[in-house]
Amino acid sequence: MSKAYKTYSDSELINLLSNRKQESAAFSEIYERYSSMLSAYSKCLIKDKDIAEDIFQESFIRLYKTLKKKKENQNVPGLLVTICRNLAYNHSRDKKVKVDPELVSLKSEDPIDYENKELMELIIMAVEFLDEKYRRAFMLREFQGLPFKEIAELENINLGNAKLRAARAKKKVIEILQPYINDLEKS
Amino acid sequence: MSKFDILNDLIEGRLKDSSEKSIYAELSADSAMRQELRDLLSVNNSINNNKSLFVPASGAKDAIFGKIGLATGGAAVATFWNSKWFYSAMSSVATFLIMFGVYLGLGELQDESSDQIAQNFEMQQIELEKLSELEVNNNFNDNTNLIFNNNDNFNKKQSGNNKIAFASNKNEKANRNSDFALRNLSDEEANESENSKITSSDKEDINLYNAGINFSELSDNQVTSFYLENNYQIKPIDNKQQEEIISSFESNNLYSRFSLEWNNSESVHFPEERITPSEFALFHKNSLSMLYDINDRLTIGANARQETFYLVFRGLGEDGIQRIYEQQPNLTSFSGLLRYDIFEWKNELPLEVETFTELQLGGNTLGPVGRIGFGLEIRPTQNITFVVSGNYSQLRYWHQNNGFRSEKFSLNYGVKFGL
Repeated sequence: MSKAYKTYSDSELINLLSNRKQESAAFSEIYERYSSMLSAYSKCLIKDKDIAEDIFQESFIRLYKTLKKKKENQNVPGLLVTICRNLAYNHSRDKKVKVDPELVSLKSEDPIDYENKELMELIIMAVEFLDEKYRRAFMLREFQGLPFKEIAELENINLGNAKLRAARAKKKVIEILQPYINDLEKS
Repeated sequence: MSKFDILNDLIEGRLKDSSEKSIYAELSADSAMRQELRDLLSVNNSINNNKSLFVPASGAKDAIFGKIGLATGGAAVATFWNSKWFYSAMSSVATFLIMFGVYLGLGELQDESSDQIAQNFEMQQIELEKLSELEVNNNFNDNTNLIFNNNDNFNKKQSGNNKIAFASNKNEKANRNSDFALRNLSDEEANESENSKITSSDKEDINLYNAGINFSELSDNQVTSFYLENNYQIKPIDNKQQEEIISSFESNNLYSRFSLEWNNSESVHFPEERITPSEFALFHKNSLSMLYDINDRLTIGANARQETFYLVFRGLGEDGIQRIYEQQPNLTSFSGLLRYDIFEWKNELPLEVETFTELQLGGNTLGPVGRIGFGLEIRPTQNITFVVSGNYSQLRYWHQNNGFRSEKFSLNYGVKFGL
C-alpha cells in the first residue's frame, strides 16, 4: 500500500505532476509545504500587501509550469524564492510612481522594522540550502508553528528526532547567516 | 546535548529549573556561548515578530489552482488502495460477508430455538389436557401440533416466522425453513387425506399443508388447534384456549422481537468536503443496530457506526495567529434509536413493504450527534428484511470554547435479520 503524500520527497511529488489523476494532490502538497515560507518572503520583498499576494500567487503558478516542463533536480524552495525575487524586481522596475512630497506621509505604515525584515528575508533564503528533511522540520516548526508531536507524526519519526532535526536546521541557518547577523548587530 | 541544543531549549522554555541555573552560570563565564545565544535570539525574534507574514491570504490556494486548472483540496491518498472508492468497495464486501455470516449463525440459533418451542408446546399440550371441551386422545403425547392461522400481526411480530411448534416426540426437530414446523407427508398419504382429517396408518411424518388445510381462509384471530389422535382428526379450540396458547407462545418467544441490522451508507457533506483522510477506519461507512420491536409499529434500539464528518472551524494557533482548520476525522459514533412504522403497502407480491421514520440521538469523541430520516423495509421472508433509508445527520463540536456544527445527508442500505 502506498504512503500518503506528506511523506513523499519533493522529487517524488514532482514526478507525480505528470500523472493527471495525482497531479492535483501532489501540487497541493507542494503548496502546503512552501506557502508559509513564500508568503513571508513575498511580504518582506514588497511592502504593498495586495501586490505581495499577487506575486505570491504568480510565483506558484510559474513554479507549476516550470516543474511540468523540467523535472530533473529541481530545488523547489530555491525555485520559489528565485521566481518571487524576480517578480518583485520586475514589479519595482516597471512601477512608475509620481510622488508628491506634500501628500505622502513620511511615516511608514509598515509595522515591521527594517532590521527584522531584512533578517527575515535572509532566513528564508538560507532555508533553501538545508537538506530536505531538516528544511521540512525547520519550516513546520518555525514557519507553521506546529508542535514537535505533530511534526513527528507528519514526518513519521519519533519525538526526539523531530526536536533534533528542528534544532539542527536552526543551527545550520545561523551558521549560514553568521556574517549577516554580525553585521546587523554592529549596525 | 550540545550547547546549542541547550540554548535552544532555554529560549523555547523547555529547560528544567535546575538546568537553567547551571546554563546561566555557564553563560556568565563563556563569551562565545553568549554570542551563540545572541545569534539564536536574533533569528528567533525575527521569526516570532513576523508570524503574520507566514499566513497566506485566504482564497490564495483556490485562485492559484483555478488559474492552472487543478482541483484544490487534493486527497492526501496516493492510489486507489487509499482512495474512498476502495474503502467503499471494501466496506460493501465487509457488509455482505458479515451479513452472510450472521445469517448462517442465526440459522443454527433458530434450529435450537425451534427445539425449545417444540418443548414448550409440549408442555402447553399438557395444560390443554385440563381444559374442557377437548377430546383428549389417549395417545396425546404422540404427533400433536398447534397451528396458528393467518393473523398477520401475531405471525410476523410475535411468532416471528409463522412457526408452528412441532410438539411431539422430543427427538423430532422443527424445520425452520418452512412456514410450519412439520414433518413431511408422503404424496400418497396427502392425497388420501381429507380436508379436516388427516389419517395415517402408521406414525410417519405428516405434512399438514399438503393435507389441504387452507389457512388463508381462516378468519382473523381464529386459531385452529388439533390433536393427532389415532386417526389424526383435527379439532378446533375456542378463543380462550387460543389466548392461552398465544400468550405462552409469546412468553417463550421473546427473542423473536429482536433483530440485527447491518447498513452501509453513502454521504454528502455540507459544506462540501475539501480534504479526505489519508486512511479510513476498517468499518468505514458501516453501522450495526440491535433492534427490539415494542409493538407492531414501534421499535427501539442501539446503533454503532464508523463514519467521518467534515469539520471547518476557527481557532488561535500556538503562535497567536487566527487560523481556519479543516479536518475529516474517522469517528465511531454510538446512538439510541427510535423507529416508527408509518405505513404498510399491501400488494400482490410475496413481499411485505413498510415505510418508517427514525430518530437517532447519540455521540462520539467530538460531541453529540443527532439523525432523523425516512426509510423503506422490504421483507421477502419473515427472517430477512432489506432496509433502504435516507437521513440527515448533525454533529456539534467545540474548539476553544466556540461551538461549531457539521452536517451531512446519507443514503443507507442494508439487511435486517430477525433473531
